[in-house]
Amino acid sequence: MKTILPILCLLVSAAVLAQTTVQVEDPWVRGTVTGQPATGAFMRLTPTAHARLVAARSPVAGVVEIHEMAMDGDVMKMRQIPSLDLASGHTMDLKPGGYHVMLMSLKQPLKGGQSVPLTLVFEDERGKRFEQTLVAQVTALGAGNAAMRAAPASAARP
Amino acid sequence: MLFVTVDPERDTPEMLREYMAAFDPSFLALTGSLGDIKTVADEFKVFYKKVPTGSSYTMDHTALSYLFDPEGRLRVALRHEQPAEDYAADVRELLSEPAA
Repeated sequence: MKTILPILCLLVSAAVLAQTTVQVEDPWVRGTVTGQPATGAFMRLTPTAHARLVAARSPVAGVVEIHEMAMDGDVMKMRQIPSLDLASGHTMDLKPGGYHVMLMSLKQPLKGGQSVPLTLVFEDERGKRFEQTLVAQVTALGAGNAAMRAAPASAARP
Repeated sequence: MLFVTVDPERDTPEMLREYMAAFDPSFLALTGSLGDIKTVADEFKVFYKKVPTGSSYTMDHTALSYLFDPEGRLRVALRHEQPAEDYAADVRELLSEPAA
């Protein structure tokens, strides 16, 4: 009995301190043409506990912001938002026409199949920041509004 | 398919040409001076506005697509949220009309 209580306390405190993580599914970036200054990155985010997406960065872009696209009647409007709340266990779908990560001041055109490293910066419930880095594939401009299907194993590397 | 930019300052002719080509060789983008754009937008009752956001600016703009029939008459305004099936049905409808 004497040893059980400290062990229980240790287990409880370990659960409380477990680092929040965010599952990222099907990340993709819309391809661009030469000289195009910006494009969107899209994905599904599911956090293990309440979290907020507060920033992002990528080596392909000079500036990365979180944006919301919304219709106001028949007028399309896009605005930067300071952060995006992610409810525990719920999937937030960043997609064209809605929330998305905006890659701006692009350093190069993005061709279909290209890999784009992306670091997402989150804040957990306690306000502590944590980062997750992933690779998003480019869906060529004109090739639709979704992540490309997984390439076959024999595909040439970009 | 014709696109008219409401942001001629950022949308260069070269970029527009390449952008359209990514979708279909028959797609054509149109641009012009800020005054030209205003004239055409007014004629089509298109609202647009430059809005600073974050480190740059964004263009709020009406998101309607206009359908002209084979006689060149403006017949339909399609909304952004309507599905592809609506667009296809309206195009099919106009194409199936007997010539005026």
